[in-house]
Amino acid sequence: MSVRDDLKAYLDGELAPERAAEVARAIETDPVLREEVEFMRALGFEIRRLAKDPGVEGLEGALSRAGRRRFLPNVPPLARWSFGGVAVILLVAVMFPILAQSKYSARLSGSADLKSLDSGATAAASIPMERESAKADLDLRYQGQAPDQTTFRDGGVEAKALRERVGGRGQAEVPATAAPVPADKESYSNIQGGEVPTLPTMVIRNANLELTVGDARAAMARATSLAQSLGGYVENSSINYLEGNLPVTNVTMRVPEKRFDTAMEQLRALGEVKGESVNGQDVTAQVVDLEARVKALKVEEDQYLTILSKASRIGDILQVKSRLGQVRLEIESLEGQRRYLRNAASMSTIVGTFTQRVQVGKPEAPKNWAEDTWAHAVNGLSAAGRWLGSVGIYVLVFAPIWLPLLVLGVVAMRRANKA
Amino acid sequence: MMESPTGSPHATEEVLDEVRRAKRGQRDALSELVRRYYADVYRFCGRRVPRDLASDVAQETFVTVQQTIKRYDERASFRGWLFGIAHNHCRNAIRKTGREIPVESLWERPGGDAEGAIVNREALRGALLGLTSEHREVVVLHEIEQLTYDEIATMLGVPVGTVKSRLHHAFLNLRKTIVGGEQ
Repeated sequence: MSVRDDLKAYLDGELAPERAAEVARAIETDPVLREEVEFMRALGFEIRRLAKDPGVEGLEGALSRAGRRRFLPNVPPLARWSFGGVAVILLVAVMFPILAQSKYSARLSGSADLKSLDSGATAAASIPMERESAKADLDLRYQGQAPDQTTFRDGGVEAKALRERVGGRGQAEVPATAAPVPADKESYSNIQGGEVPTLPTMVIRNANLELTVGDARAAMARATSLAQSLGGYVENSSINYLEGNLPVTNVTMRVPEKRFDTAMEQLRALGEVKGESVNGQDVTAQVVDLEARVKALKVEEDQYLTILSKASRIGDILQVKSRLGQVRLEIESLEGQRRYLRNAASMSTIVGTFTQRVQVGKPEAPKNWAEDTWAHAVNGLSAAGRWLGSVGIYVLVFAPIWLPLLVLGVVAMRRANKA
Repeated sequence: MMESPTGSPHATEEVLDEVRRAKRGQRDALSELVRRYYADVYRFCGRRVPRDLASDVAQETFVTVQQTIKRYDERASFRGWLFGIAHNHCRNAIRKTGREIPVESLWERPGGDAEGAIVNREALRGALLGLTSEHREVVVLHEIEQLTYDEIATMLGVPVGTVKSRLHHAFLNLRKTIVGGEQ
């Protein structure tokens, strides 16, 4: 490269020191080069003088804008619209399940209200008013031959008193073989005086145990034999297969309440415990209540029988028999409930879930795994398409809501950016 | 005539410190950079777009700087990077509005103070208008905007050698036109 080519760069101080020294020496010795350099220097000077100066405006505005945090970064319009679209889709996707859930919950609570109304009505109707008034009617007719009204009412009062006493102590101590409940006021006052016999606590115990085991089927078999060896039985058992053909077995076993802890210990030893829960429901008060009501009804039954033995008119006999039938029906129902609670309390329920640990090559992959996977994938794609379609329809239907908001937002954003 | 307000167009340690602090989101550092370079950027824009647009474009330039300063690579010249942003904003404004400062308006028409002139100003103006747009651009960037070769290269995205060569040939052409005109 000739020295002449570097004259301008030399003048601007843009040459490396060695090259600059070379050019300087050349200029010193060559008057033509010197004249060219001088001309270039003058040219630069004149160009700067000749240039128009537009002045400076707007520094304050720039400082103010530099100190302001922008609402949105300077992203291209397409990206902004895409962002808005995705936000709307996400909003719909989130809101739809929430709305659906709230609708479902409202339906559930409605049915729960109805159920509670039903149960309340059943409880209240345990001694129907109709029967009470009919009994009073018969009592009046056979006055002097049958127990008085007070004795009849005592059955109800007695049951209530027992319930309150049991409830007040939190735990029932009325014996299962309770002595015949006296039907008169005096006997009732004896009970109130603190001579309430004790009943062993009855608790319905339920447990869930989740275990990881080496072989889920073998664990199910061992749990079954365990239940039998403890004097219990298997109520229900099932086997399911997870993805990867891993078996999961479920065993619902009933074991005597006294052997509950032993059963739990032996079940835990079958594998690695992944989850465990035990809950108990004290049903002593319910049982005591049921027994008291049964006794009161039996007293009532005896009284009807007395009336029946003394009735002479066909119409009266039929009426008493009808009432007697109702009382016996109710006694049967209450005794059924009592038996159920006693049984549930005497046999605890344990639900064991055994998940097989993953092992190499065991269990073997199912034969049609590729076809199954293909079918799953295709079905999944189809479901995703349907879901996207549903979202699209929602977005379209909800457009009158979000579209004006979006337009307003974009306009506001543009104005803010301009400002 | 057009001196940089900082006295030196080069990115000093002080400038680099401000840039680093601005990268960390410190507003005062960005304000310092605005104060330091706003006049240069405004003049740069004012020579490309009409005056009523110039301050908007200059301000937009600094807004872009605020948003993208984290992407600035410190190995490159900061001024070159900054003027590159300003250059893009000017081009966008010209494309949107269709308004541009004509080349003839870049230089004053020679007036009565031409006695002390070393070269014939009218001839110089004609010679500048006669340059190709590429040559004129580097002349304006170097002689008027006071950008170094390195900064011009960063701004235009060309090698430094290209800038040097364009400037050399631009001055050769100017000399040829002026001296030839005088002869």
